[in-house]
Amino acid sequence: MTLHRIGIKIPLSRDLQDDARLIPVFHAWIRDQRLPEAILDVADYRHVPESPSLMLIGFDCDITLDREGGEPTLYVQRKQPLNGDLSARVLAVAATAYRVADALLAEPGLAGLAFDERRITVLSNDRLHVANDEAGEAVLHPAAATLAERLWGDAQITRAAGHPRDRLTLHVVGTHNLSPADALVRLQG
Amino acid sequence: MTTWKDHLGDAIPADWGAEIDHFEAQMNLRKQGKIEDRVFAELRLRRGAYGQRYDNGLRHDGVQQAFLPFPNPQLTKGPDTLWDAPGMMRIKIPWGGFTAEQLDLLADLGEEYSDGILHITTRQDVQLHYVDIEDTPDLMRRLAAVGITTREACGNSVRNVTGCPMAGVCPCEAFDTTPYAEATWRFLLGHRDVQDFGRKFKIAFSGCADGACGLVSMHDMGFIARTREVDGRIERGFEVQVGGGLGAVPHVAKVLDPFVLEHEILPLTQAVARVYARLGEKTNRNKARIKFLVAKLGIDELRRLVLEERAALERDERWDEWVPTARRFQETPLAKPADDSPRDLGDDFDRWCERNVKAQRQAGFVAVTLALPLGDLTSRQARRLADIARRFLRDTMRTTVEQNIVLRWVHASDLPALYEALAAIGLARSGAESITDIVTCPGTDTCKLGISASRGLGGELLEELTARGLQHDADVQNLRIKISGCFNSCGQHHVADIGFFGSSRTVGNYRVPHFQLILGGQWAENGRHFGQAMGAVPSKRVPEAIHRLLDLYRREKSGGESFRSVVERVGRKEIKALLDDLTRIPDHAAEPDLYVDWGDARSYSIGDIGIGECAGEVVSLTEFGIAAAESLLLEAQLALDDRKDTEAPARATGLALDAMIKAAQALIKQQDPDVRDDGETVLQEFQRRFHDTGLFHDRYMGGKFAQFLFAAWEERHERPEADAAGRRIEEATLFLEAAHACHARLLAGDGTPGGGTLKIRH
Repeated sequence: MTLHRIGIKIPLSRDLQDDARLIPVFHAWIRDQRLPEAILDVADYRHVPESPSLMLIGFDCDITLDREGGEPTLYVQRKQPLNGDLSARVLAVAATAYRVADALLAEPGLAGLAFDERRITVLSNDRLHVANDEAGEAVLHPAAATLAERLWGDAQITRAAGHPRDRLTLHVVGTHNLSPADALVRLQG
Repeated sequence: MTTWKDHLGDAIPADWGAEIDHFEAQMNLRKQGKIEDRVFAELRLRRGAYGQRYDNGLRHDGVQQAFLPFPNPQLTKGPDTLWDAPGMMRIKIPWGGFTAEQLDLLADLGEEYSDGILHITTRQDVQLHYVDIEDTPDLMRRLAAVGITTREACGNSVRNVTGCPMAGVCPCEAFDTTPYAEATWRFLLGHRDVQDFGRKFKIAFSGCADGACGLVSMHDMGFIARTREVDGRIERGFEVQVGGGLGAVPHVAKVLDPFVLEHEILPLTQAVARVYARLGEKTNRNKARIKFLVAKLGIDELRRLVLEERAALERDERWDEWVPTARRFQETPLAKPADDSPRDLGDDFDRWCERNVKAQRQAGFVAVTLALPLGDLTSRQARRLADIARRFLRDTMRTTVEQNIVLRWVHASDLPALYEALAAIGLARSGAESITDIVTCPGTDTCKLGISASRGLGGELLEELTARGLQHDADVQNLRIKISGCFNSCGQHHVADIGFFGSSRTVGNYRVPHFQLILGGQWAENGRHFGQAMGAVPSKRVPEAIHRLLDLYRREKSGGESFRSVVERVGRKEIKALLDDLTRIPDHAAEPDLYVDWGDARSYSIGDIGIGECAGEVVSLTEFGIAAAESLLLEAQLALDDRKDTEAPARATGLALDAMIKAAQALIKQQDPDVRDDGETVLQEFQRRFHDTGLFHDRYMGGKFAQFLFAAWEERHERPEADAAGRRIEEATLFLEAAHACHARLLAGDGTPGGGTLKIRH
């Protein structure tokens, strides 16, 4: 399976209130190359409702405070190919997302921010290889199940009932709370 | 592995598919080093794949210039343009028309290859940012499969042919120009006679002369619909204009022919293209737009050459075979309203109707403008908008040059249901074409040429002015604000009531982001009247400057007097005095926020500048000299404002030259504090020390600004008309901007031609 454009979303349980608080954080991250991924620029779409409000543009992946559908999420979108099978790739992108979440929690300027510790979303951003249909779900579901199993041991996975042309999106709800740091340990274990 | 090429198969038109395959092959050759990067850059541009800020692999992080960690910094896709660096994809939308199917596809592309945002440009294109060049062939194939090409969206070619978004439904137009714009882009796409231009060539169509429509008068070539009666028969034709353009120095287009019959527009355009390709400047790109050829030859000589060329053209069937169909062209609405059940939507709906809904000339139908914030909508919104369009329209959507979308042929009785549907996806913002419907170019967000954050400022003003309800304030709601990130006018600041272009100033050891204020431009009459420069305001003080200007307008206007008229009547001197305190900048410690641009956290200054005492003294001499030059420039502007004085243009031109000489002298003083005052000496020394060495060169514009001084000197004994004097003042304004920039570069120890030496962190 050739799906590499994998997206992971982690919902915020406590919002930033003012997204501009992320601007100095993202600029500092670029200056210090804070992440192992190549990060390049900051894109600001705060003026657009329910948009990718603030983005840290990267070469390997984009990292976004996303407000699509009205719910704030941390959204990591892989753009470059990854090694391994689809499950390994989903685990790798999820690890990036939790690593970013953990780094955001450590930022003094973002006090009050919190992530939902029982939910994560996996999506396919490649309509050619994994479309938003039953065939696509059959491909992505096992990889999402592997992720769920690694994080929670057991979890509920449902396909988002959005627009038929939206990207295939699978919501994973775990059985207990798992902080980003703990999630990262489990994914790297 | 399945590919989009396999998947789409015959859905891609064969010729377009072959072109894309060819481009993909060129990409591979470039990767093997078999195509020069300079050549590949133009090939790429002609496919719509544009460079983006930081694509040279360097980015200033607020402290110093640092390398960005691209995996393969050796491979380039153009001079100083790294292969791995994300770029912009410009997608041509001829005359702004698009279908629901196309919008669905654009939404998909925005998500899969870009950042989930579709950006509508001031030329009715759609732009996607942060696109990996490796994705561009598939992106082009998917577009081709729904009838869209990116060919010649950039580069030295005929760009998107634009048109009035109300064409065909406007009560004022002579006739629907849509099929003529369509025939023109199809005829010119890839035409052999448009492949050898020195610069880009932009064409626009308008249905009438009075409205803004297609902004014909600021285009390289433009067509205004006209009819005439001959022997009782109505003939269709166009007033044809050439040589307009904004850019650094705006030119109003000249009338090439007041009436060209409809079947003659394509051969005439071909003839213009051939003359431009043959005689237009090719080496100095800053003088290469057709406006410079028109200015050089004069419109009469250009007309003679074009008609001579036209007479010699070999007949082409494509010139007029489309004309009968054009006359029958007619968009159609859905047969019945989709949902005309009444709803109680309150005041918001009424205000939206007031600003965003226009009656069509066809009874019972309206056109609805979606006021997109800074021209942006998300992929998710776009996909749902496509559904709304299917429900209420029959593929009758258009982008606009004000970065909006117009839904045409809406049954008036559907308005409540349509509003409700748009509101559900965040697209029912009121205030279309009002003071809050702010236009900006990409500026420093993504453009390599950006000086200040036009979108950052635009976003701030959008929020603040909307919160104050100015879009519904009868006194000021019809004013337009347009912002460019630099002097190149992509935000069309010259034709706004209140326009801005980005600039910077140096205070102490720091740079301060600024915007030059341009007041009194006019959007109506196809953008024929340009505003006047009023001086630079620090970026963070622009909102306050706007409030003062609006208060002035409210106070001074008499009845329905236009903003332009008030600006002219009150005069530059008083307006500058009104804003004077805003232009005084406290030092960095007192107000550090002024030294950071909108939406950014990095210091705009160059924090690592180190200047010795001696240099400090010389610097103050230079600063003093440039300030004196600014005063002379203001005098020139004031002189030109005196319409009663027949000597005013000559006096203004002389003062503009004096201002440039003073600024040049100020720079020379950094090297020779004893330089003499006479113009001849200053000119020679400036040429020797700053022009010939490249020190004064702009990184992207080269020696263009120095040429303004040399030309002004050469022509110092001529007696100019008012429009030429106005242009000379514009040139002097830009020369002074370049002097500020040069001074800042020298302060930073960046003394190489074009500011090329960068402090680099590895």
